[in-house]
Amino acid sequence: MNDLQIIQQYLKKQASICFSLLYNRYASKIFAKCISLLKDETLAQDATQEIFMKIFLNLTKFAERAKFSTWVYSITYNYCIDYLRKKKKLNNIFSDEMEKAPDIGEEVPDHELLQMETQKLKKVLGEMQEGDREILLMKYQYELSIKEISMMLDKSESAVKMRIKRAKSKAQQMKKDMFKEEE
Amino acid sequence: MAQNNFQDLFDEEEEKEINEAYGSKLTNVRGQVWQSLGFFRFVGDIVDAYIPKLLDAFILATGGRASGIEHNDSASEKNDNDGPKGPTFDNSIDSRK
Repeated sequence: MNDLQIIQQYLKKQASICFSLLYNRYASKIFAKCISLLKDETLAQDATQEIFMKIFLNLTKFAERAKFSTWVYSITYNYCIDYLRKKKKLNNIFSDEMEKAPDIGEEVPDHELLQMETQKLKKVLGEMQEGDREILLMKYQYELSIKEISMMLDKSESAVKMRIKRAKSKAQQMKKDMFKEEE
Repeated sequence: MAQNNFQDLFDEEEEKEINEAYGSKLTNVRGQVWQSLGFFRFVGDIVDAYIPKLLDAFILATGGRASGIEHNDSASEKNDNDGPKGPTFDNSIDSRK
């Protein structure tokens, strides 16, 4: 059963099996994302609980325009960023400084990033600044559109495009630096 | 479909690691979420069952006619055994003209 079928069944019957299926599919992903953003296990555990409540209480509002995983990601991301904002722990992941920097010229083609070996990709992303990493994940892992990212970050679409372009360029440069012996 | 290794970043191995490290915590969370959803469903059922009755009681108390009673009245109006109806207020105005 795909996500959509499970959701429809859940909305019809409120069956615990449908709840468990969705929970088991997304719990570890949500928890991992919460830990990476909140950097605290207890907070991440509480956040996971709150996020699942939001997801299940708003399932009827899930417009099937986007993938369910994308919708789940945006709820998770927004929850964590809101939490950090409230606690004033948000050290401006997406600062405006990057957007003001001069243009970097040619854009790195998508396939060069998308086809990077998974282990190398993990290492490169691990070394990147949080803002750059997150925007690349939004675009390529969670497949959010530029418009969706701009709404989530409260930035203009052109600023988001520029941010992605720079992050891609940085990732490619880091890959070259980190794995120059292999290439 | 074009290859996208970003999709493999959170792979089965990583999922397994998280489940091993935090499995019991995530099971607790599941229990709590299901319990809370159950509570919300219970409250929702109560609201569904009693709010219309409470509204009817309020309408009756303020001198109006509750929905159920109104329905009965309209049913009796259709009964052919009822006597002839008197003139309505509107008719009486018309006759004066």
